[in-house]
Amino acid sequence: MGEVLNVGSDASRSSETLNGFLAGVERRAFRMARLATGSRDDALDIVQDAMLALARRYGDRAPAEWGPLFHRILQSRIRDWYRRQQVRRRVFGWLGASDDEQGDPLDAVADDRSVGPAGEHAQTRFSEALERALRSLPLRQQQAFLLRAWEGLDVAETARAMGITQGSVKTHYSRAVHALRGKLEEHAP
Amino acid sequence: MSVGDDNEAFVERVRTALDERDALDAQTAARLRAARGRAVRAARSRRPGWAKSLLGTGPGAGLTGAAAGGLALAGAAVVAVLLWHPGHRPVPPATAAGDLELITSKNSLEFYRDLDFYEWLQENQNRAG
Repeated sequence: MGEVLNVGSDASRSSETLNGFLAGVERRAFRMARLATGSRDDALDIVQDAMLALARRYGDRAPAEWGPLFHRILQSRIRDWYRRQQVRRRVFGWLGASDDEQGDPLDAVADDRSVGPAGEHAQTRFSEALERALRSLPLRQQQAFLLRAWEGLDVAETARAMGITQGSVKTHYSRAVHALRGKLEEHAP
Repeated sequence: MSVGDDNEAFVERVRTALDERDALDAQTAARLRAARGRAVRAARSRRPGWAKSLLGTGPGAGLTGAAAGGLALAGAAVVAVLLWHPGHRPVPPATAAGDLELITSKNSLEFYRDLDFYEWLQENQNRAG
């Protein structure tokens, strides 16, 4: 009996590696998408789409390439969501509803965060204020900040993920930090 | 403390706050797990049929050394013919950006298809007005 070339175990390891990678990025990806959309269901759809696209198109790439690719796909999905919201707003406008009635899509989302009771820990209050402040940022500032500050991508990686220049990343990031500091001034330690 | 240091301290505090709120409710975590499972299965199924039979997925999967050697030899012969034949040149790998355009095309197509309709609607409204 010849030597068995167990290539199947390589495929299994590859699946495990992909599963591990996705498990490592899914929570933050969901939080980033939710901050951008304000909707849990939309955020879940976006993350699922990004996962599937990565797996189908780049599942055979080296795992080291998955991170930047995944974030680029995720950003693309978030931008698509924003465009669709803009189109919907335009259509509602044509059909008679005013922009004021429609408002910003993020404003229309119910705020399900609970306000902490008096005396709640300052860090919790800071976290809640931070989430509100992040949601209020323009999309590009918000995502540039999250990719750089939270996801740990450098300027070049962030630029590739967002499909913009490195100079734009620096500008968006700097404006985001400035805006966030202003909004969170009262929570300064 | 310089402005840069000050900003760095602020960003560090933000990072900590975001990490602390990283926990998800059970339902969301379950849906993410399910999405991940679908993605991993999609990665497996993207292999063409011949690759599946070659790689296999079950415990008995795999090739004997002789069969694998034969396939490798046949593969090498095909590559040699393709390289030698003047009418054939290896296709350069698509750039990541090009691939990503394809990836985004699904949503973009949907979006632009809708957009055409909405633009048509707007034109008709303009004419009516």
